Amino acid sequence: MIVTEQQLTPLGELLERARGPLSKREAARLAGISEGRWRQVVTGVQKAGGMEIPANPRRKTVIAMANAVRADIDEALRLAGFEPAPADTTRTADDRDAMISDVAEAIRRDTALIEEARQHLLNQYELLRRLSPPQKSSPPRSRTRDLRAVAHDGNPEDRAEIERRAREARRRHEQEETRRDDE
Amino acid sequence: MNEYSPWGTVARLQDVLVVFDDLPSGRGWWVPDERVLLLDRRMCRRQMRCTLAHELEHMVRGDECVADVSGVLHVRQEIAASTAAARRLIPLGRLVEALLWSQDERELAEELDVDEETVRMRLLTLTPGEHSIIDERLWAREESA
Repeated sequence: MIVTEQQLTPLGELLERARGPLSKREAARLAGISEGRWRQVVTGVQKAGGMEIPANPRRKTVIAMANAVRADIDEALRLAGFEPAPADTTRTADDRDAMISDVAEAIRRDTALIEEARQHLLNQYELLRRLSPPQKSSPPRSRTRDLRAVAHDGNPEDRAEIERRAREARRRHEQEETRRDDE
Repeated sequence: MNEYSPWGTVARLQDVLVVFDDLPSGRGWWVPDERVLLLDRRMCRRQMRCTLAHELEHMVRGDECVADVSGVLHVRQEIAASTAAARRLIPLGRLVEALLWSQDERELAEELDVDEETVRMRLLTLTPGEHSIIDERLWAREESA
């Protein structure tokens, strides 16, 4: 049986070209999606009930995929039919959030890293994130100071872990709110 | 007079997220940067109530961790939060009523719906005026007995 590569959409061509020697599986993993979903997005079709329907990726997915293979995000957004990010901020708050969570998530999931390297990368990444300019549409929370967690009888050595859990909980909560808003 | 409820208070703070988790250490943590309050889910109900009140005081006071800077400041911060939480959780009137029949910390804690640590903190930080009121009420009961 001859297996032919399915036709790619313009977005798919951009992503696949940028992917280079990286395997589909690895690219999907970096983007935080399944390999199957990667294939659906680049070919533009997915199967549902035996029928082929448009894949229609979400804006955040397109950004995550482009980010994973270092493709031009604005171009990827345009090809997927989304408005590119405003020129003055380079990225919208949503785009930045998507990139931030995707990068951190990719570091956490990378099985090739030893634990020390993973933690080092996450710390470096967090430091860079905090040094980045504040988001224009950031929620009404103080980002002006590097506020530290306060413990009730807690071990100061656990602070980094506690702050990580808090960040994760906040991210999940905001995702849930966005999902509810979308519905 | 409306009784203080830390759960009611936190429910009105819509930007604060309360998370119940198996914490590696500590009964509760306030993470101001994320506006997240973490509580150890293995605590009993009364401990949970008191820890929440304690962490809310950190929030009200705008505390952030100073343990790396100064151990003394850190302890002062903790005492201030515990004292304020104990005062809110145990109004003087209720404390006097409870003291009329018991001076055992465990019983007082049960009656006042707090943990023993909070009772101890409230008793340790009574003002001279509050001491006088309590003495007066306890003497009055002795005399009427």
